[in-house]
Amino acid sequence: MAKLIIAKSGGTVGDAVSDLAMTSDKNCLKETQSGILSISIGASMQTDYQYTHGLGYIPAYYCFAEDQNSPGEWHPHNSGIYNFSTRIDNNKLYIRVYGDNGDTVNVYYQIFVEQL
Amino acid sequence: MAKDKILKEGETDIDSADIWRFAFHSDYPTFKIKAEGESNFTISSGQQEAHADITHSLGYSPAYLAYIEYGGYVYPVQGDTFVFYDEMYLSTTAGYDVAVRFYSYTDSSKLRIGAYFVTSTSNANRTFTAHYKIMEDKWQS
Repeated sequence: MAKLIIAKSGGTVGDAVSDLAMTSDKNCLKETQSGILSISIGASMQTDYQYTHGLGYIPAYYCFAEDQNSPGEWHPHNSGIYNFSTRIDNNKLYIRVYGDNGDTVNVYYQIFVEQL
Repeated sequence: MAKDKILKEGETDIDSADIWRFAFHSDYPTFKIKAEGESNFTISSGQQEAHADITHSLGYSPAYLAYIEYGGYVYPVQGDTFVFYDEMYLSTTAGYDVAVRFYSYTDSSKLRIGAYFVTSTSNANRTFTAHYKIMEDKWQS
């Protein structure tokens, strides 16, 4: 079967796979859903937010939260900021954030086609 | 040198400098998946830690995604992380529940994904499932 190999600028199609821009020999992560959720913090100081991806299987995913005190700084889930943490099942992405009553935390999510 | 570009649906400017408008752009390598799968590991009764080692033998530390499945949910695993903050407390031999943390790291030959009780030891066998996607791509050049 024919292959599609694309080298990076300055490289060649004979380069190591790790140095190629793309090769059809290897699957790539493909984004299926992404966006920013603005999650409000209530009096309990904790919000559990559910986003429905509806894929019917458990996908690979990644999330980041924006630091309200330093807008533009985004921190990965489970890194400590806002005790921001996530989990996923075959239907929903679950997001937990902490903060002060009235705060809004922006969370960026990226869900991939690839199944876990 | 010619560039290969594929615009995302709805985008029209093939010469755009906004790389996010492209589904693919040969100046920007894609993450290429070398290995993926799952592996069970068990913290045995009386033990504090367990892990799964996934051999990749790349000779360098690759980019990866790691997750652990337990109790019907899948959790992302960073370097050393709490689990869905303040939620995963499991019974221990100390007679009270203790937080469990997940961790992962990679080196030139393997990816390790594990779990441990912050204090004390498990009072029962507890099996976790590590899920992983290891990329061909290096974090360092």
